[in-house]
Amino acid sequence: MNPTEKNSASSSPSDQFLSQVLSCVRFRYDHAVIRQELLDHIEDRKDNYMEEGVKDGEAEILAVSCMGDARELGEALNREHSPLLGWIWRISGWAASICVFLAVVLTILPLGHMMLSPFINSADNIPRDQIVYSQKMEERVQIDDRVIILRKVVFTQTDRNADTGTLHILWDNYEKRLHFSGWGFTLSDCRFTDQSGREYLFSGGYSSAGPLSRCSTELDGFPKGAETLYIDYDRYHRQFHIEIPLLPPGSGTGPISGTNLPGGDAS
Amino acid sequence: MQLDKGLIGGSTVLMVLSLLKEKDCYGYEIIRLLEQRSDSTFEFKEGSLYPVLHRMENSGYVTSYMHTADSGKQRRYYRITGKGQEQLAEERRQWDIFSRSVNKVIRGEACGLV
Repeated sequence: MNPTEKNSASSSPSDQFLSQVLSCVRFRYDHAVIRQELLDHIEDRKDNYMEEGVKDGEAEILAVSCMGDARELGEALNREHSPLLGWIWRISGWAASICVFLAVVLTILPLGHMMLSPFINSADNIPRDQIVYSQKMEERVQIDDRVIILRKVVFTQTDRNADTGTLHILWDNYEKRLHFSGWGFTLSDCRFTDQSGREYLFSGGYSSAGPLSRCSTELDGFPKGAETLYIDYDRYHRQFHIEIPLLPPGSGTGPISGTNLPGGDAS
Repeated sequence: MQLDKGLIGGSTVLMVLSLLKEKDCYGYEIIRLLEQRSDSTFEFKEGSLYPVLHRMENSGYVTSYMHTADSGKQRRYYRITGKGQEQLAEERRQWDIFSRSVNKVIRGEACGLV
C-alpha cells in the first residue's frame, strides 16, 4: 500500500469528502467554519439513518452521498467565499482592533491616570526624616458645590531642638457637580491661629490636578507645642471654622470639630 | 420524484426564507422541513443548500449564529433579517405573478384555444 492509499484508508468517508470540498475553497481562513457546518450536517443525517436501523459505517457512507458531488459543492462554496472580500473583512477587523487600542492608549489611559493619580501619588513632599508628629483626620466642609476634606496634619522640623517648625496641612477637594465653575478654592485664603491667638501665614503648598485635587498647605514658624490649630474661612459671604487639637509627641489623637458658619453648607 | 433543477433553483431562496420567517433553523433542519412539507417532492443534493445559505448571508438576507440545542448539539442557526423579509415579500410577489402566468398559458391550451 502506497502512502496515498494508506492516507485514504485511514480517513473516514466524511473526512475524504470534506477535504475534497475544501480543496476547492481558496480562502482558507473560512475552511474551519465550512468544515464544521458540513460535518454537523453529515452527522445529523448519519444519526437519522442509524435511527432507521442502518449500521454506523454504512450510515456514514449514505450520509456523505446525500451531500452531492464534493467538487461541485466546493466550487459553489468558493464563489461565496471570495478571498478579496474575506481579506477586506479580516483587515477591517484588524483596523478596528487597532483603532480601539489607540483610543484606549490615547484617551482612556490618560484619563484614568488623571482620575487615579490622586489616589496613587502623595500630595505631600514632606521629608520623612523631619517628621515630629503626624495625625490623621477626616474633617469635611462644603462651600457651594466644592467639598473640602482635611486628611492629615504633619509637623516637621529641620532642627529637633528648635521651638518652631512647619505644619503641613494635607487636604483634598472636589466639585460635586461637573459644571466647571472656574472658581477655585485654596486653603491659603483661610486664617490660621493657635490657642494663643497668634496667626500663622501660609508659606507654601502643593495641589494636584484632576477631579479630586490632593493638596498640601504649609505654615512656617509654627510652634512645636501648639495645642490647637484653628482654621477660619470668611470670604464671598461663605464661612467655616475648624478646630484641630494637636498632638504633643507621644500622645494619642483628640477629637476634631469643625462647623460651617451661616452662609456655608456642611456635608 | 426528480424535478427539473431549474425549477428548484429558482425558488430555493423563496422556500428557505419562508421557513426562516417562521423560526431560526440550522441547515439540516431546513432540509428536513423541505422534505416533510413537500411530501418528499424536493429531495435534492443536501450540500447544495450551504452555498445558498452563505450567499444569502453575504447578501444580508440572513445572519448566522452558533447555538446549542436542548439535545446538546451545537449548530449554526440562520435568522432572517429585515432585508431578508423584504426580499421574501418580493420573491413571493414574483412567484405569484409567475405561477398565475404559467397557469393561464396551460389552461388556455387545455381550453382548446387553438
